[in-house]
Amino acid sequence: MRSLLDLPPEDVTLDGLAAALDSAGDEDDRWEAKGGDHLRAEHVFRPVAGLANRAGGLLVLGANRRADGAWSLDGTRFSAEPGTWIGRVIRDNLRPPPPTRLAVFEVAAGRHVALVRVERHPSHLSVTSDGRVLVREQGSTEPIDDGAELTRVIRARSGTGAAAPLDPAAGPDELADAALGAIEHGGEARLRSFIAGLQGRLPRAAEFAPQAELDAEMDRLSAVSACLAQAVPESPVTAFALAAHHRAFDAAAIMRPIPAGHPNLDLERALLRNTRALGALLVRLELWPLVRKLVDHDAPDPKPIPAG
Amino acid sequence: MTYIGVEEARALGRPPNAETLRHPVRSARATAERVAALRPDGADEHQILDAVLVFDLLANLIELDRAARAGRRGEVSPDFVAFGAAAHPPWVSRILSDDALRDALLPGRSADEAAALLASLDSQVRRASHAFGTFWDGIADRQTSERLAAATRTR
Repeated sequence: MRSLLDLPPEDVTLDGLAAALDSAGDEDDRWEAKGGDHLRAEHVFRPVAGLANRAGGLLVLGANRRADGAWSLDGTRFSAEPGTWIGRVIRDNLRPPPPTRLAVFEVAAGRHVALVRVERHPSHLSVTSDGRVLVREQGSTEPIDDGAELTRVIRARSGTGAAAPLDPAAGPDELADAALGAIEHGGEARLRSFIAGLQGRLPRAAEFAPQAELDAEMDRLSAVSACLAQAVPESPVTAFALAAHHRAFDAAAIMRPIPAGHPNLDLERALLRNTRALGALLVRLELWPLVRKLVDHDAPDPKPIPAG
Repeated sequence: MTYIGVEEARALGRPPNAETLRHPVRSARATAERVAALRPDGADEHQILDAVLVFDLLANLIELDRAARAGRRGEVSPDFVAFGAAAHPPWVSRILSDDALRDALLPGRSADEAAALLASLDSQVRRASHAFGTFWDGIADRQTSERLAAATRTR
């Protein structure tokens, strides 16, 4: 079916569609098929929304899958003229309706096959009339039931973060947005390098900078870690960000007091404060494996609690 | 964690006390209030404080688990003791009943093993409470406390 993705539907013939289905195999994130004798509105607007809210794709109406796995263009009976009915279903059930193009083929008396090419809306997600945001994922169309996923999809649609640089002087929250943009645009390696830089600046800030600067550096690391934990909890870059806290603890453990103060304690205190704040977020989001990861660290020089 | 507060108090010539424990917890709450990325769920100050206290409990529990696996006696840093135990009982109960949660926090531990770790933590928290002059009424509700006690007796 991928071969049809770049063709206007009006250039696709029934034979061409049948040939594409012959080698199509299972439905995936870019195409879906619906068959049966009578299609309901939801058989149209759900897959159209799911495709539009990802990368766009093709919906074939009137295709049935046989027991041997092959697709058959048996057609279906539409309750009205197919093109009119499909257009109305999309317009009546999706806000805003995504751009679509359509080809209709009559395969038998009163039975039609329709090929709907669904474009990704240039600016907006398409929401169903009952308020659901559907997405096509792993061959299935499902509503988004996770706020973090919804944020990701919205940001990807609006382009937020794409142009935001990973500026080491940016504020923590601005930096969190930039980190999300980097993840969405495949910048994991750049992000790892940036996180390593943030972590490396902490001991220097503790030794040579005012407390406010150490706090700001610490907040940057926490904000980036929090953003990654929420958006991509299972990503290696999230584990790397959490482990950056451990590496900073290790650095603090080998620092020594100086005549002007205790930079080791300053750094440890800032780390503990922000680790707790980050851990509290992980608790509220119930990201238990990350709670374990955040705590799971062998300190290089364990120090016992003084008695009494 | 407590070590840092104690050492800091000594460095500044102050005797360690309950305030030594409270300050870092409050400081964590203030950080979450300051950095929006640390409260994307819109949590208010009470929800943040409760979550900090629960995280502290879990961090200490994980530390005891790590110590037990390494064959050493675990040292805990229960700064949460200075705030009482109101936030903890539902979570202690859930650690014992929610297999997925327990397996993520304490991989491979049965509910009984988790109960024994919680009982050990409760005992150490009680000692810390005496040392710092705070009041501690237990880590769990009455029913769960009985289960923790039973887990201790069988070990």
